[in-house]
Amino acid sequence: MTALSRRRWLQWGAATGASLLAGSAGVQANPAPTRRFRIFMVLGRGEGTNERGFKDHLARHGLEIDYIVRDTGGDSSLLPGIVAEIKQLRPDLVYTWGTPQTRAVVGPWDDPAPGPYVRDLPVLFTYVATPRDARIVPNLERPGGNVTGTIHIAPIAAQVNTILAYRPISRLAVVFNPAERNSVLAVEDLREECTRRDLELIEVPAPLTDGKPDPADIPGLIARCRERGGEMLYLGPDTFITTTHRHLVAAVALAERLPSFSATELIVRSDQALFALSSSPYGIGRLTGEKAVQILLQGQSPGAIPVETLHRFSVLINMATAKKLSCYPPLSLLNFAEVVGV
Amino acid sequence: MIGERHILAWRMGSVIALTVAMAIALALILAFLKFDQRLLKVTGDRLELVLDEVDRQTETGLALGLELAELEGLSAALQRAARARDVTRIEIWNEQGRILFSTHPERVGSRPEAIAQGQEDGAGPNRRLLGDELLLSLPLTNGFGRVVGAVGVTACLGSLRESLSGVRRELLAMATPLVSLALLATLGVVFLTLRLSGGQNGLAARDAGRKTADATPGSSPDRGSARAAAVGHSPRVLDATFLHPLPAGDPGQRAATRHDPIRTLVFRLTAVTLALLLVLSLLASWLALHQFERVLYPELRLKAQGVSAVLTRQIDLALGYGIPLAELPGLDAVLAKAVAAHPDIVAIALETSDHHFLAAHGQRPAISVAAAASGDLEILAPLTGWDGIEGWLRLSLDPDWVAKADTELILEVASVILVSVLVAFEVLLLVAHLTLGRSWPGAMAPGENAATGTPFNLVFLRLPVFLFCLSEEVTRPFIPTYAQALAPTAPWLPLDLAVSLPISLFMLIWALSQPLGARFSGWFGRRPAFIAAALLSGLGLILTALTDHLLAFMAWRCLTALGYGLALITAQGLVVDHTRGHNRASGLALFIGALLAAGVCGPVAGGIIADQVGPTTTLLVGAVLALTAAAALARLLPKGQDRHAVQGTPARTIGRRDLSPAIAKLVTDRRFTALMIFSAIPAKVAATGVLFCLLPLLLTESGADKAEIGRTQMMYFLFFIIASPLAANLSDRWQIRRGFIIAGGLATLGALTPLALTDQVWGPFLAIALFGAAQALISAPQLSLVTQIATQVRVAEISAIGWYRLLERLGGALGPLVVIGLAAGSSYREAALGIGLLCGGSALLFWLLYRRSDPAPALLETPP
Repeated sequence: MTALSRRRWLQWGAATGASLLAGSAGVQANPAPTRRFRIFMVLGRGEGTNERGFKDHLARHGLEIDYIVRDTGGDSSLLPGIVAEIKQLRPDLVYTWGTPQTRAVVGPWDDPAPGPYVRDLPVLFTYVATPRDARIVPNLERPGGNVTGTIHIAPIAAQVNTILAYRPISRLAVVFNPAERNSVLAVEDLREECTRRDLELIEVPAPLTDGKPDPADIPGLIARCRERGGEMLYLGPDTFITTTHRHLVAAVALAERLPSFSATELIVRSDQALFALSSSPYGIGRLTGEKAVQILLQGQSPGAIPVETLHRFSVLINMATAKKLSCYPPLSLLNFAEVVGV
Repeated sequence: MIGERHILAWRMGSVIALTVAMAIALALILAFLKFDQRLLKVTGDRLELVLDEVDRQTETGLALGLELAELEGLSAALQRAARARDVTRIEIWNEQGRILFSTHPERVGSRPEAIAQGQEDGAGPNRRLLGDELLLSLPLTNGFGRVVGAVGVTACLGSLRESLSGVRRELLAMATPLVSLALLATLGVVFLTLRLSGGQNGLAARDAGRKTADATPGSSPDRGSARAAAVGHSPRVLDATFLHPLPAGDPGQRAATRHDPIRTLVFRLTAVTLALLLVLSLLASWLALHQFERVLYPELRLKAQGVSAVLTRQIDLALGYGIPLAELPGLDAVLAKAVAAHPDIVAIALETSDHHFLAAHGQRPAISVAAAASGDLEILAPLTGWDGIEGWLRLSLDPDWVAKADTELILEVASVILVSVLVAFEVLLLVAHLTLGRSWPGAMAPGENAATGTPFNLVFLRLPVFLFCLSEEVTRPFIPTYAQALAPTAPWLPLDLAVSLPISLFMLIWALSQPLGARFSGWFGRRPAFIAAALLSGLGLILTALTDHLLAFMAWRCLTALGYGLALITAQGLVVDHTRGHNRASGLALFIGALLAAGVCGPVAGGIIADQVGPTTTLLVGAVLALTAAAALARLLPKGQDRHAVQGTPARTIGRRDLSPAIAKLVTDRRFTALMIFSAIPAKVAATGVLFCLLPLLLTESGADKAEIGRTQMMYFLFFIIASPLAANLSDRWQIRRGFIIAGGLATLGALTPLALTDQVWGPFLAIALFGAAQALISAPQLSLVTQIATQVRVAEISAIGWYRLLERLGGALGPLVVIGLAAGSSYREAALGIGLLCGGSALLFWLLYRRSDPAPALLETPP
């Protein structure tokens, strides 16, 4: 046992002394909170399971929190006002959901003009797929500055492993919105991974009119994937494809008899995409909560806390879609997958 | 005469019978212990399936982000899992070691006894045996990658122990007649052998002929002296230079050595021992196997049922989702994985409800109708979906699994046989000489008796030397890992140094003790010096066993090294004192034979002992051997007889006054320097570094037990013994010294390559065997070159050889440090290759340098 884990044992030992019973299991020994904290939440699609996990985690650590919640509902024009409000209220912690919200609050890490951004309060982000490529932090291990957070997407290699475990294919197709920086970066990663594994990637970007994609193009885009020999459709962390128009995307893919894999779970859970490798949103919320505990209770600097994702992901399979496609999951995957649409 | 023949027969017969009986008993004990381990492993594997199932359910909950204490549904899951046979309880405890869920609700909130020290973070399940209880535990990791607790399955092994003691009783009942048979058969065969050999009369008749031969002194006593001196200062097991036949100029001596009738008889009887051992151990193994199968198969069947249950659950889950059995993908992979994980399961097949094959992995064995009907070797489980039974899962057990070559057991029994035969040889030789009261051939020329009293029979020295060397050799397989385990007690010392330094210090002290030791024993008297040194070494081993601190461990290893070095140089002094030029080489060969026999026996025996009773006890066994050696010498060499050295002995021991002036001349000779730096030192760096340090560490890392390490180390000595006389003979005949040295260096590189390139089991075995042979190529030619150079630069051969031995041994001391230094920056395998490259590269440099500085090599390689 290393010195570090010994120390942890001692800490736990001290914590068990007075209060430990089954109920408080898993709570690390932290200094008892002496005051209420204020957390400012900047959300993009309202409160979800993720936020529930976050709040549960803080509550389990005995923290009393006043939450101030602002939701853009996808309208980024509201963000400057929200940032101004943060600067005025000076909460103990700022929680940001999603890449656009986080970018608006903290700005690119190498932007020399700090004026429009929050640089003197701890900021904790979540649901940012590629924080380094989005220039939110320069380094995941030591993000530096006043920012840290959590990633909700499984590493691209794990995603491709899951795709190949479900069905050994040689051509993967991806439809994406080239106007979303997040999505473009994800496709770049995917391209690199496919090259490494000798897998052909068929890239079908949505055409832009006035810089915006048109949902009416979606059926044609997916049909093109099929025509070009795609054996599986990859749905990345793309708001236009996987969130806003997920219903249409999933339905068209099914109609085209193209099995679809998603890096987020919503399109599998609520629509008809075939399967996903994703983090449990509740688990991501707890992991984000753990980082909030480190900042608020243990007084750690956000810049010294690594940006992480969960160590375990869940495979989500939509059995109804599998039956319609006659594309059943292999036994090894089914053994630890969560199955919906039975 | 007849009476003496009977005494001889009885004595020799008793020795062999005792050896055979002990070896058979030992083989049976080993087989039983292996079986015990195997049975425990099968049971452990079966319980691991239960543990895995609970772990899977728990971690699924944790992956969702829930905390351990929140997984309320676990209590029911534990109760279900605890229905498995022998399971007494299943518990889940948190990171503080408090039980959160248990099949025994009253235990919730308390601490499980077995994990009071905290659970390990290791990847695989942790198995712990506490009396009759087996505890398996597995750490639980949450979604953040943090260990949040553990799951533990406790099983009671009471019923298993009962069947084991049943097997033990039956084995014992079987062993008694077998051992009696062995005793009777042995005595009969020994009497027969003696009768066919002509008994004492025959021995006496041949003896007369041999004595005539002894009376003719060797024609080149000087050379004999040089060789004797060379060996006289080379107590190293690796220095078996003189096993090769003597030069053609010593016909009388060759005759004496070749036609010693006692030796011939002992060889014959040893062959008889070997034959008896082989036949009886085969019989014993065959009988034991049947006992084991009866107990093992029911346990294997239980485990296979567990495997079947896991697979059935997975397939039923798929059927429950409405996936048709025939369209279920990935079946082959799952079946293949299950077959690979359980070597006793030979085939798994999936059949439709009307028994048509859907998927299968492995070949279903052809079993008898009776066995198939009893269902002992097959498990058939129904696969159930919405519409009832949709198919069948068929698991087939391997009917020959127990009998299939248990390679490890075969190798261990073979090792026991080898060790027994070598020990029997040593004891038989002594018993024969004691019974016939003979002195060492040619120890004295006629007419010397009156002045010096009864001469000392050097054969009597062999057993004490053998036992004494054994005391150190038994520790070889585990010294580096022993030091590794003690390393935390000196945290300021880097781990690499903690492992290598004890061996290096041992080699250093031993090297330095040689020049001093020779003078010490000359002055103190050989007998008391040997006894004192052996006692010192024994004391060192006892203290080593008792210490639990690295620094003390190193100090006691140094003490042992001092005793070891002093005892061996003293023993050589005895040989030199009691021989003369013409028979010195064969006297030393006798001595070195004992060293090599110990080199072969020691690591193997030590490995097996250490596996069964632990390294600490093995160290104590070593101490007992050292003390026995002291007692044996005290008994066999009467007081005062050690002073009766042969008159006119030209040999003397080496001292500082021999060494100091010689080195100045030697170091200025480029050939000597090249020989030392590019051959002698690298060869010893490789020998000690790889054999004593790297090999145990590398094999331990790849999961080998100590017996396997010992067996591999033995290969070095075995191949050294085989290759050494051949290499020495050929290099003499062809007068090629340099070529052999270069070939040996390159062969070392070739030999160590398998160690780096393959992680197969045979890799280290082959590598070390080749390594032994490669080192044998170098040994004798090196010495010849040293004596040639000494003559050319007008330095006494004895001094040149003294320096040569000292320098190469310092290389030996450097070996472990070099090897571990290389391994620190890479891996053990790469370090082995690095050492190979060092030897190969040095050999090439030696070739270049030696040639350049030697314009007329042909002249040089002609013996002076």
